[in-house]
Amino acid sequence: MTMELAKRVSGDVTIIDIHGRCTLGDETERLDQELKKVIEGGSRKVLLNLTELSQIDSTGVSIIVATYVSLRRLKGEVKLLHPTGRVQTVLAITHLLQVIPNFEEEEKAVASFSATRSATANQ
Amino acid sequence: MPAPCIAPGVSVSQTALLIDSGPDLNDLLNRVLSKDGWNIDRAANHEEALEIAKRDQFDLIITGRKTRGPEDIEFLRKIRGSRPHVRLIILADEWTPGDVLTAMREGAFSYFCAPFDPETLAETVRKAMNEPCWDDGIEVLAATPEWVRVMARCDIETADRLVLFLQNVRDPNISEADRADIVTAFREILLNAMEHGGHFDPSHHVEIGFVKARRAIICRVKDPGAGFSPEEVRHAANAKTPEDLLSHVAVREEKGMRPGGFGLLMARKLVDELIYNEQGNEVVLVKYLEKPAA
Repeated sequence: MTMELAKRVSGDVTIIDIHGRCTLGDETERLDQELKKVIEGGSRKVLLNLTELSQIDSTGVSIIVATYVSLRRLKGEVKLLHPTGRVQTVLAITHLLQVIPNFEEEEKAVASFSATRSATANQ
Repeated sequence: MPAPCIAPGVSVSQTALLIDSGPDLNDLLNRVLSKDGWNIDRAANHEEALEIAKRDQFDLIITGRKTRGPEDIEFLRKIRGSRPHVRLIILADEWTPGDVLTAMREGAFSYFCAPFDPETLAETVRKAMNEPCWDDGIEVLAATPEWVRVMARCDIETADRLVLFLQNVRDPNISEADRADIVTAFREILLNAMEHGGHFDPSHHVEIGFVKARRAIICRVKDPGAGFSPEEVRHAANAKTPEDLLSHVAVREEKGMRPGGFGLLMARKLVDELIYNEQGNEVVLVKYLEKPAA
């Protein structure tokens, strides 16, 4: 299998661990379906753990963007955890790292969702 | 006339012939093939493999890593002479860019130069099982290390095979960073050409050329479509700033298109020049090399 997905939950944040390669074909279709399922299931705070993602192409990038747009419409958020190497390069040149919040540490990433909610609540 | 190729799924069981590659690689290949239900036969070297392959039929043959590039090519020619549709994956500790290109021209399924990436190797072995009628996907029209011309069938599997060959043309005068940029940009443009120009129709082909000059790599991709105007395409991200990055998403949703539209943007950022012809069905990528080739 070229890509493996695992879902876990930390508080009200759904974390999707993506391992391997996410390029046009079965892999991107599975990621797309999984993320749609997560959103349809009610999750509004989604953290994509990219630590073990070795390669991503334009289709993989597009699925992350589509998830970002879908969640934003539902007043939700998607954030990225620890992209590295070529994945980081691809996300940087497509400006995703400037648009979607990204973090080096999972703890801080998860905490940031609460911080956003508190900030919004206080406004 | 060669016999028609047979999809692997048609055969009752699939059998691979592995030529000894030492314990680490043997173990990896055993794990991948056994897990996917292959029967495995073994040979100590090319000579023994040729004898066995004359006697028995195999769906997949994987060479040992210990042989040199020209020996692998000779083995490939002999095997393809008697078993024209067998999938042969070459593993090589010693190779030249010319060896990789010759292997592609002579009909190898794939070529891996050391150091081997186990994940990619395992994936390629699985593709060898799942890809029917693979061996007319890539036609090499010219292949010197400085000038390559290829016709590629419009399907994702052929694109992946071609890209893997090019990844393994590891010219020592091209830095890893430049090579990765060129291969990534090329893959995006190739898939765009196959999807939008060729509609992923396997009866259509994309024409590809590579030229390696002393200080640049030039790549040309021509698709069989009617062309388009890159400036007028609203369903593709062509963002100059992060703010307008997402504007194409709504256009794609309106048109019922799958998530996408970042390929052209990625390619533009990874090479130094990207030039379309007037019709918009032919594009040239230019990447200036970090360090001049010797």
